[in-house]
Amino acid sequence: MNETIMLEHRDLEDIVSQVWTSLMAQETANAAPWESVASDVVAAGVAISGCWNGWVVVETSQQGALDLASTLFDLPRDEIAPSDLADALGEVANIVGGSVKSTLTGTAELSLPSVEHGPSTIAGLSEASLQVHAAWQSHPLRISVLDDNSKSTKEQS
Amino acid sequence: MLAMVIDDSRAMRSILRRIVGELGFEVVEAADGQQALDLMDDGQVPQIALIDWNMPVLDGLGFVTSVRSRQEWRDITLMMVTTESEHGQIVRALAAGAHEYVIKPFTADAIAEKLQLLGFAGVAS
Repeated sequence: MNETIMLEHRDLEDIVSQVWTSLMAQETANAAPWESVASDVVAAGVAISGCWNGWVVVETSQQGALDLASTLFDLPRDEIAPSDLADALGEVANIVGGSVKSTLTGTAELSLPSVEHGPSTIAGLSEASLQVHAAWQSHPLRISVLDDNSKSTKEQS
Repeated sequence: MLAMVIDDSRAMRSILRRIVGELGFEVVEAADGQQALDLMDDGQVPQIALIDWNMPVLDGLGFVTSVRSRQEWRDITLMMVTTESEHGQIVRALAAGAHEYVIKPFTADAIAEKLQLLGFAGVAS
């Protein structure tokens, strides 16, 4: 049975802000919720297993992921390989996921990140109860925290 | 002075390489704990290792335990740099032989402060 996650919308906003400020020395801005998931979305997710079971997913556009990788690797965009892009967004998801995990009172483990190009196959993502929409360098960001109902759906697919 | 950055994320290794490089360290990278042990067996023994926890093949805790089991590597300073923030896990890492613990996300200043605390004042030259 899942522990109740003591994380509110404002807490997740603070986590996202802290990650972007620390990693990229840049602020994020609040943004309106996505009306639909763009076809060029890139999604990186980490699973949390233990006292609470679920997913933390970071999504942005292809261009957003490219700029993010360019910033983290400190390389021009045209030198970023697709594997760099996945690595960078995966590490951001890992750090956001670790911060979410730190709010749990019990013991849990964090998976290695997985990255998908295109709309995420994690079911229920759009309806995640805890979701932050933000913008970074005009790129859309969506950070979702969702419980194990969605996780089990993915494992079955 | 040689620093080894051990993390399965190339992006994170790149960030840490820049930070400790600007502090004067030469830097060698490893993508997991086993790769790090292999590099050390080949003679690339660092003065300090910055170690992620959650890695494939051999995780950070396994790396720390392996290093501490080798008498010839007892002087290496080990610093965990990880998203793992559970108190019990931090205690495990320190008990296994890690000297310091930095939780991601971090700033460059936080890494520099920890290195100074560990006696790498100046930091490396």
